[in-house]
Amino acid sequence: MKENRIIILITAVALVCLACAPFAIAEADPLDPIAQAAEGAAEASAKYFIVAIPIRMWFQYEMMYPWMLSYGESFINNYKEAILANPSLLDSSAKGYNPGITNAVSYSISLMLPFYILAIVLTGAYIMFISGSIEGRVKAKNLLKRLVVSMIFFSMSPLILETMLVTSQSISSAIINQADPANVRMVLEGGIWGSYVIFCKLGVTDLEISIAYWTSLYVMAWLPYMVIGMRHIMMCLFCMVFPIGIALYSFVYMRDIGRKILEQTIVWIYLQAFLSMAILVISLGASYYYLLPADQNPKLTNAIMPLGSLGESLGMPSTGYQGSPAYVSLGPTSILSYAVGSMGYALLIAVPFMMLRLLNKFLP
Amino acid sequence: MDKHKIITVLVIAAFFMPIIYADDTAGEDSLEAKSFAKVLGEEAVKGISKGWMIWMCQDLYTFLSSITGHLREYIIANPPIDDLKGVQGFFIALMQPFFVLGIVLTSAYLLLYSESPRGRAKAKAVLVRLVYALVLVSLSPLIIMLLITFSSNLSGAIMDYTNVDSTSADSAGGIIEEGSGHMHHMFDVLTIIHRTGGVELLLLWETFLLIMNFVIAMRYLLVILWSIMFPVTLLLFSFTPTKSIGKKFLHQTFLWIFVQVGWAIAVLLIESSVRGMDIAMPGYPMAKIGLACLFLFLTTPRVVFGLMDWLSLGVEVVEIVNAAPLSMGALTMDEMKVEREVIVEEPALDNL
Repeated sequence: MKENRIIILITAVALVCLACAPFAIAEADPLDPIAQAAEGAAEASAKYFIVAIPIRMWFQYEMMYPWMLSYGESFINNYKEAILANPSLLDSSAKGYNPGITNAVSYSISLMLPFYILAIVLTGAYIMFISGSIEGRVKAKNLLKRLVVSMIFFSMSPLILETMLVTSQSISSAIINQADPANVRMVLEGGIWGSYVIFCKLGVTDLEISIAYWTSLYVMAWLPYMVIGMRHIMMCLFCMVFPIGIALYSFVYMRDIGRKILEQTIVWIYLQAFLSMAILVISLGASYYYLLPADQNPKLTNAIMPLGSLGESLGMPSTGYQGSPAYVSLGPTSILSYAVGSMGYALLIAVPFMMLRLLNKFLP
Repeated sequence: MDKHKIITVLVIAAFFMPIIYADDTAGEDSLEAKSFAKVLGEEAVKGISKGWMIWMCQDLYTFLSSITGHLREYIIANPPIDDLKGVQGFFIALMQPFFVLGIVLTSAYLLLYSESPRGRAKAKAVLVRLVYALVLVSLSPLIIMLLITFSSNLSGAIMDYTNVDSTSADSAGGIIEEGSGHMHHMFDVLTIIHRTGGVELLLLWETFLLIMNFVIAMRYLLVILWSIMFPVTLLLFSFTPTKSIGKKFLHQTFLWIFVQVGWAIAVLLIESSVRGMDIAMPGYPMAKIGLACLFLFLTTPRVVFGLMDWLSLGVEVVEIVNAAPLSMGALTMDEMKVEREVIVEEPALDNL
């Protein structure tokens, strides 16, 4: 019923514009106020209905719709690969093999090795030549023991890192496989397409009032990738300094710094499992759709949708530039799908930061 | 006739006066009136565009503010327990090897390596804690079900004392609606005056209503997250090195589940404090009170996190269960200190 009213209104406005057009084309009589008013209305109509609205619609349907199909849907299509991607340090045949990180880890090891040798030699010399008291010798012996154990871990750091990366990937894979891909798609699409529907609805009257939803499209399309990318970068950084972290952890005075480096390495690597858990939560979040009975779940339709029906009835071509639709009949978005979909994206973005805040000071 | 309607009619009449005047008196003098007629024509079309904008925003407002008509359903919303059980089973299966490893290693230490009574006591305490945690992990779907049901029932019981199910003006939904509706009305008026005059107000009511919808959806997702992680939380809580993390996770689980009780209290608070205010203080701008109530509803989770630290009692309960009588001996041993004083030799009895 409401859609019919919109069609009637748009048709009426179009007819008024057409009726005013002769006044605009012909020179209006300057002494006739009705003709003057009609001329003014025709000029304003031409600016608004013939120039501004088609430009906005062109932007929404010719520019943003293909963008939505490619960028907007990108994360929904590729979330599994994106989250499960890890660099490989040792296996050169692996997909994520990155010699840059391996070289950096080796460089860190070579950088710290002289210090280790120096520390062991000096401690040995102290035990053999200088130490007088029993207490001093015991302390030196303990230090020597710790140095040797730490050096073993230090030399094995590429292997330790690779083990952590592989276990993280296995756990994440097991968690993410518990999620129903159809539900994940439904929830995430509910968020991003809901924003698009509201953006189109408001944006066709004025782009300024739709800015919040327009921005949220970019946030939803890009921010999950950015968070995953940030994890990748931070993980590479901490992998590079991991041997240094082990070395510092074994010295009493540097222990705090070493602990922080080791904790950060562990947390950034295993954030993958928490991101997978966020996907699993999104999948289970589909039940939010049934919070209200279907007939009480408020829906919002795109303003141009009725125009789509009008276009169809007028025999307009259904496809426009580069195969995108000339007019789009978007389905309605419901408040529940929009809210839970948007929060699904928010959860993907928030979970890493939440875990970074909670997971600290866990090493002795 | 209403005062505002009279003013509106007068303003419209004033707009049309030059046209009437120009139509009556033809001649050079009426040229200004003619150009005014042109402006009027332009403004009429602009008015249509503004009207369209207001119409679209009205649709959006109806869409976003629909939450105020279903406050009870939104507040007591919890994920279905059956959905959670399946996934929790997966996490329990994932945790089991760690538990088995922990128990086997501790038992091996007890049987083969431990020499000092202190070490044995500590190992026994760990073993007992592991066994308790294993029992709790196995029961975790039930515990979560219990917590969620309790929280939901408690919220429902609190809201039974309110008028939340109706959409009347003195219900919490009605009061919040009045606040946001006031902003929406101001937006309409400002937009009629200037196309972008009300954009800021639009952003404000949009943000408030969006956050209201979002925060409830976010709680729903976080309850799922912490519920499915509950077995992991218990595992972390049962090992001494990861105990602090487990404690934080447990805290989050309790808080997010019980946020709905905070909302139910907020509804009760809104209704009991605002009801009758318009009679007690006639002329008081109730719309502003409605805005304050909306803001209170948005900040409730923060309030729950900040003030209701008593929810950490739940964490303490788990701790108490962990330190149950079986491990009491171990704990006593752990706390016990044997203090030996310096032996003072008795004076020699040479002089006797």
